[in-house]
Amino acid sequence: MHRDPQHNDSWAWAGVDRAADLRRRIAAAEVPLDVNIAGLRLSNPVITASGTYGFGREYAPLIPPASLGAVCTKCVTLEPRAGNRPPRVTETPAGMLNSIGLENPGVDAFLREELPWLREHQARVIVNVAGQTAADYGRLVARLDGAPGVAAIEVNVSCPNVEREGMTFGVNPKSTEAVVRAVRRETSLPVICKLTPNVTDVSEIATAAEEAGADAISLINTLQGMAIDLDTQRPVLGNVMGGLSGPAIRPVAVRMVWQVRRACKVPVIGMGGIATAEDAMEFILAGASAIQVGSACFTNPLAPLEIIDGIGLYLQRTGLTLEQATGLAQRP
Amino acid sequence: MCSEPTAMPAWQVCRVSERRELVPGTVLLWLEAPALADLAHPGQFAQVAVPGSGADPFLRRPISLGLIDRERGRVGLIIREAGRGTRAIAACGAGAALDLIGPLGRGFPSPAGGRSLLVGGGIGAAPLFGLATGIAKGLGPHQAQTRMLMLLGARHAGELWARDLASELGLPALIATDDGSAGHPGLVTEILAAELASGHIGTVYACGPTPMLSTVGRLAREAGVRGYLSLEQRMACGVGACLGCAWPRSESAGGGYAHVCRDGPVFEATEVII
Repeated sequence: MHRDPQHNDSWAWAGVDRAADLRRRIAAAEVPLDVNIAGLRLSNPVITASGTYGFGREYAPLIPPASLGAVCTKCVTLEPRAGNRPPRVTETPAGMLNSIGLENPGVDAFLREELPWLREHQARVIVNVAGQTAADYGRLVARLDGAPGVAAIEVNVSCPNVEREGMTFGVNPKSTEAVVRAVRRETSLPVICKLTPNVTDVSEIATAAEEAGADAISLINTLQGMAIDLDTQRPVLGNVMGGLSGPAIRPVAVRMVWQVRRACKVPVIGMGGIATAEDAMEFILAGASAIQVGSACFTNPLAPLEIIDGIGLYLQRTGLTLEQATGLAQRP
Repeated sequence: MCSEPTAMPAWQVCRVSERRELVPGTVLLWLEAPALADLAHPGQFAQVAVPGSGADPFLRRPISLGLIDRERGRVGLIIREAGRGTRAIAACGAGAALDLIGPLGRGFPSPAGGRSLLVGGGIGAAPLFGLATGIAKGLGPHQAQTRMLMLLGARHAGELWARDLASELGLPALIATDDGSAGHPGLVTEILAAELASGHIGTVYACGPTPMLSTVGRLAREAGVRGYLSLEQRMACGVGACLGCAWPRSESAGGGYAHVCRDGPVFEATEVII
């Protein structure tokens, strides 16, 4: 246990040893885990979810970005954004609320400082993008298109549309379509539309995104929620409302993945409260071709590696291929 | 600038070697953690979870590394039972295991010349003990005792665990209680103002409730003394990935938001809006 502190250049001891062990097991796995999502080729179906993994640096000594299927970046906007007033996070039963407010350094700083680092570390990079108007999204994606190291675009439609009195793009099929079209025009990269669950009929929105040219659908973003502080008798979050994530939302997410898989032809990337390989398999069996791991990393930074390893073990045990398992629960 | 964070934290499951209830609702847990004790600087923290607690509570709890005992290879966490997360951690007895990621963040920088005042309100006194016992770089225990004075505030005498711990460790301390049941009747910042007026103060370190920190920052500025504040904010990842623990940064320090886990928890008083 005792080591020279001068040599503490990593997440030492238990963490690093376990991470190395997991990576060895994953490399030696007998079941192929690679997947191709509309031209986005991944070595395994596990992606770190936007906003929970920064730009990959913080967790890199434990989880080299190259060991993941892909890294989905913190959301990037045209201009730098300072984010919302604190408090921005609070724990809730089996989950948490957040209202970070898209804090990010802007696309120029992303291209200059973050993307080269990710590329150097051989990450498959999905850039999550957000804007205030459909034209914003288009301009942003034009900047990213052709940048070396960008493998795909994930369109965050869960932001307020300033041209529609702040209504979230993704709650309306028409504004979802407008955003996806604006992005589609600017790039030949795979375009993934990330849907909000805060809608009456998610299939309707998914179909609109597909018709507008999305190559894949990812879901779910966080469920809108809030918490009240009993001591101050005010909302806990500075922004009043926030997005609920964590295991609490998982059944809602599994249901929506199931629905979108039925409604659309394009592949689905599932997320929402995934913390273990068993959780991930539920999404895959419901119809997800790949999955994203988000807030689980905060508690267990090794969750993505454990999930890759566990998916392999599940497939080995059942004799299924990843492709056969995808959507298997939907069989008649 | 505050002391540099350790390049990367360690992650380990530690054994609790001793549990002591300091006052009702506040416990001291000694953990066998030689590597953590070696790496830790006063003011840094760890993200703590009870192994096997599953999805609920969902997040780790940021706990300051209060007592750092390098000789015996142990770290003492002082925990106030504030909610279900801290209750579960505080309930761990000798022999239990705790899952720690740490040390995290930037701790207290070493003192400048002159005397240092260490102002602690309630559970906020915890991170000051590492400084007071002379763990800070370039300062031996003897120097710490002669050059540092703890100013400890609590609501009433029954919550003054920090006074008892200071006297056990031979650390000089002045006391204030809101209800006057021990020491100066009133706020700890009132003793701070008097001490600052006496002169010869080089540095003020503080941790405690936000209104207290706000006053400490103002008094230090008015006295022309360097002030370092350890801030507390709701936190998720603890390593700078989620950007949850934002704190408004002063215009002179660049504006926008700092992040308590990575840029703090210790800030120079002029760096943040408080």
